[in-house]
Amino acid sequence: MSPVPQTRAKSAAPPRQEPVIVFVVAGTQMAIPAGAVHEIRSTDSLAGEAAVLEQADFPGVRHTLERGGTTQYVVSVGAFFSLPRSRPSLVLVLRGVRCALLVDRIERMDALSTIYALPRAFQGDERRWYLGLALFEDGVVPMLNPEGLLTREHLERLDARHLAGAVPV
Amino acid sequence: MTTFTESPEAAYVLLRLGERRFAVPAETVEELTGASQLHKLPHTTPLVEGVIVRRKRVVPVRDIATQLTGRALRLHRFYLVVRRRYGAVEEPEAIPVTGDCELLSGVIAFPRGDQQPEYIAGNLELAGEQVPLLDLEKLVAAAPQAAGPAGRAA
Repeated sequence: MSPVPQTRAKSAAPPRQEPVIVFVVAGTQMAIPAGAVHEIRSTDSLAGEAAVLEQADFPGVRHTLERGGTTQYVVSVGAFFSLPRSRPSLVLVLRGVRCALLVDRIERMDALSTIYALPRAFQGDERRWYLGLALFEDGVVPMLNPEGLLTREHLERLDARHLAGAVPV
Repeated sequence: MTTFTESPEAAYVLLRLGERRFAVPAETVEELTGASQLHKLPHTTPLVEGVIVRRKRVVPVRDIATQLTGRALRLHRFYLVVRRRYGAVEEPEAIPVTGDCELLSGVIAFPRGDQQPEYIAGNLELAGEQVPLLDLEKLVAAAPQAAGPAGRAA
């Protein structure tokens, strides 16, 4: 999915609503398309399935999950974005990407007809991280790009570390 | 002294950043708006503070005070919304300013001094004060570039 332009399309038909999951990490709200989330698990319930990944290149990645013969890397959203320390309790296992998100809690499910393109003033990695910005009554929330946190190069480097030896929790 | 522009219609908006005054071409200004809620999000772009919402548009907020005066504005009452150009596309951008802005017309802009940076397009002489005329595109180009592997809630 690519960011849509800031101007809304004019159409007689009602705009399609996209379900999104709004979650919170260290008081910061973020959203992700609901269709990108395969399952939501508590950290407790994953304790037996996760393995520790010893590596220092990606401070936000400390654990892996094995799903269908594929290794998924658990990204601590707080550590990834350098947010203040918090107490994550949920893991969003994503669909179709080798990434899961460690978050504090789910705020709500919502539906959006418009995702605003990230303004071009933003020039850094955030252009990869976000699909755009969601406008809710209580604020502007970045919409995470499920494919944007770990690039192919990141995954190759993580795979190399992982092959060097994962330690069961 | 040679004049920077001969156009009698040239108009400028005078803005204040702390104790200093600057000007921008009036044609680049959309509006002056009161303080709006600043929404922050993790990112890596220096000097972009977050976004505000104006008329159902998401408008990024750029701190030019730090770049021009060496320190961010501690208090500001207004945002000057300007148009920035990205190739063929224009997008609004909000600049925090200290107070009211003033529209000036019929003022002649003189060329920038040899020691002034390129983002100073010229100078307006107002009651004995030399007010730098900003080229916002060059100012942004001269800003520090994004750095760091991850973002931080700005």
